[in-house]
Amino acid sequence: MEPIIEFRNYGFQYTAQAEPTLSDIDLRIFPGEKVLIVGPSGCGKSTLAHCINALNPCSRPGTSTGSLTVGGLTPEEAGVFGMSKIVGTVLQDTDGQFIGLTVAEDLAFALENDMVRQEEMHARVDEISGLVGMRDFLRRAPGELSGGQKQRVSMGGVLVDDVKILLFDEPLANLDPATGKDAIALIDEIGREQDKTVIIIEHRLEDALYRSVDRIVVMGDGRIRADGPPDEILCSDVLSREGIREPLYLTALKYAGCRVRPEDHPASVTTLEIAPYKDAIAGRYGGADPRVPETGGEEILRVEDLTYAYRPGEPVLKHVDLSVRRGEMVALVGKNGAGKSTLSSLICGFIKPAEGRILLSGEDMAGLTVKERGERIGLVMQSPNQMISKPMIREEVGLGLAARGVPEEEASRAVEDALRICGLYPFRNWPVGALSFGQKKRVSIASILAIRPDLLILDEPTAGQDYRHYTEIMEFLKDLNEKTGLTILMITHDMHLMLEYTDRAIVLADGECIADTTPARVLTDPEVCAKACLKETSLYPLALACGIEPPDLFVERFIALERGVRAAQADKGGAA
Amino acid sequence: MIKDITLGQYYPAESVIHRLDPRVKLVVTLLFIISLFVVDNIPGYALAFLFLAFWCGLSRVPLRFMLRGMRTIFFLLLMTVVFNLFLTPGTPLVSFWKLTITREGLRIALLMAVRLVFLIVGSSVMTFTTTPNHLTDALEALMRPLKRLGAPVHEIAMMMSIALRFIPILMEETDKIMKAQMARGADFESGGLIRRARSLVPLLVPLFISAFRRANDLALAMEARCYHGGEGRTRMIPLTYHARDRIAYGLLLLYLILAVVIGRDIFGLAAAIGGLPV
Repeated sequence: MEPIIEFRNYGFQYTAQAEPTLSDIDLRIFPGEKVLIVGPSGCGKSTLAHCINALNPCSRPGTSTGSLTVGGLTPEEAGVFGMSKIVGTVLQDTDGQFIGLTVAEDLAFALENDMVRQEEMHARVDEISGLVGMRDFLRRAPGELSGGQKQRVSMGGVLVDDVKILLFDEPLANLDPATGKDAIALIDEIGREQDKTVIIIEHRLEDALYRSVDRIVVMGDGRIRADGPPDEILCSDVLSREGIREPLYLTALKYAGCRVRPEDHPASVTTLEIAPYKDAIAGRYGGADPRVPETGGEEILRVEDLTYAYRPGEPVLKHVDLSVRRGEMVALVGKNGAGKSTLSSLICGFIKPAEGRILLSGEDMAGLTVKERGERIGLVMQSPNQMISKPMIREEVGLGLAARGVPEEEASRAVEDALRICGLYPFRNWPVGALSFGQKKRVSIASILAIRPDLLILDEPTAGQDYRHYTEIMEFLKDLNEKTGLTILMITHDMHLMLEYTDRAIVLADGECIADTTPARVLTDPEVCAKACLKETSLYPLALACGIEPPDLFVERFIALERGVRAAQADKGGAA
Repeated sequence: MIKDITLGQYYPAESVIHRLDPRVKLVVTLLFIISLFVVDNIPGYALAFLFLAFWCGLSRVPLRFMLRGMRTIFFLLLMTVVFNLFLTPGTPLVSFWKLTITREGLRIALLMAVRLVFLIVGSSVMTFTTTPNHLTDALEALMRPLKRLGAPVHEIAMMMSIALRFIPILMEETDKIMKAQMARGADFESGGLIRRARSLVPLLVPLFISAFRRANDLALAMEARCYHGGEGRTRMIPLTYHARDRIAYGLLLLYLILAVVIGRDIFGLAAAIGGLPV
């Protein structure tokens, strides 16, 4: 069979860059194949994808070497427009690629560009909307849709054109875990039913493998490091070498000293042949309960009977009770729209509760302004770009103090302390623009720490970050928590984060608090997971298959091991 | 605070006006506004009022929605009235301290107030009953003759519809950024106008970064979906005139004739009847 995509000794260099982003790429993808391309941030996987649809070099100038053919065409010559007939691209930010003012018009956008007649257009839009399950939403505006629905529309928008290749650039970004699962399932169904060649670019390997793929291509540093069936790739050590997180159940097997073989089908926890490893696992994860008894620190935040509605009769929060103790790291989870952001807005005082109280160290905050609350509760937004407004690091970190009229000498000491804690002291006189994303994130955290709050609320601290950056940010927060005793509340969709770094998870669903317990218990409780659109950890089926009771204890033991391994790695890193 | 801006909001309802072709609504609104400046006597305004009441009544948009838009222009209205009231030369009516209200001033002030209120209510009916995309479609259709003169009509319409599409997203983003700054101690609500304007400067940097990134992403997405400019595109929902649109045009024509005849008092009827004031 002829390959539909063929890279031969291909290389690509952006005009704006000194080094080539891609080199020595030899890759053949055949019609009907489903290929997952994984790699850390900056490995060139998005560049590779954009060479296929000709956005490189047509929209972002650069020079290529070697040859590339896609569906018999050379993308560079066919141009973006020419390639859009063959390759349908779904970009990362589905909100940003919604062009039409309603779902129907957005789906029809490509047809409108193609001068298709109206009757045909309506028929096609009707058909495609059915395919992506959006037929009932045709007249909705993008603002009325959820993240998952927007992604369905984006997918439909490229399907109308009867393309041969579907290209997904990080389809899981910005979706809650259960919606992400649905998205992967939908991609799988459409690829199979419509007989498309599917290419998925992701760094979240375990989530992307929710439905099977034919091949995994591992990229690192602009080169292809490995290319093969998932079972083989998962058994090799190429993933950990390239800084891609392998599925948790495989890590668990490794810790138990098992060497998994391709013939055991490790691509999914459901297909995995568990029998040969059962005893090793039971031996490794038996034993004592690793949980440390709850530290009875004083209560720092208490929410009592909190109710809030944006519109009368539609409460977003219904009689929520919760408390956070000093020194805890707590995760606040739940699907989009469950009331997590509303809760943090209420705590920060942007909106006033309809009923109920919020107490900080036992004192009712009802009378405090946003600014006064800001001195004790720090809020860190998802992206540092949403917070940073000064050109110099020192100015940015001192902004909150300046706004409060703190005397200069005192402010400068507080700023330097905050910079030291965040490991940014050497950069104190640098411009913000010279920093990497992770460093910017630290600047945004330092600028809050300078105000010396008792409680830090972080909104999606690791969204869109690959495993290395994720670890970097989270280890930093963990350190902060351990060394300074700072209480941290994190709003997150990331199940790994919650499992590995928090002591407790508060789960919101439809405005109610449905669970408040250890993350391991939450993620081994199918009922809570389903209600809150979370994703059970893959350790749960593994625990069941090995007959370890109760499953959450198994997860606890695994996490304790994992933390130990990571601490050892960090020490090694520190020594080197 | 940013959500208080209601001007130009769509109010979903089932009404004849909602179903009218957007071109008709645009033409009616424009000509109605012009008529307000043509008419200059009380019967003329009474007629305009009748027309407006009919137009509003059919739209089924609650009156309080219409009047909410008035809040934003209250100061403009007040200033127009005050300036006209005190600064128009003519026959003095009342005079105190250094200020004099003249007969002409009173007349012009009242006229301007009525015109402004009618104008706002009249055009808000259009924005309340027409979705932004229909409005841009109508604009594009009505501006089409300008294409011959080399005006980039399609591009302008596409830009408008994208702008409309992104307003809510950027508003939300602004709200988020503002909250983050407020929690850090920024103050957007107290102080004079200049201080408040200055306090907004830190918001601009993150907002611009976000807007540019979005613009870039959208351009990529459009290109990847075969967009190649305005020539040779079909519309999914083309504009077509129905019977109700023709009736609307007929009624508009009738109103315009009456407005000119009565409002300008072409046949001297008012004088003949015995000289209505004004």
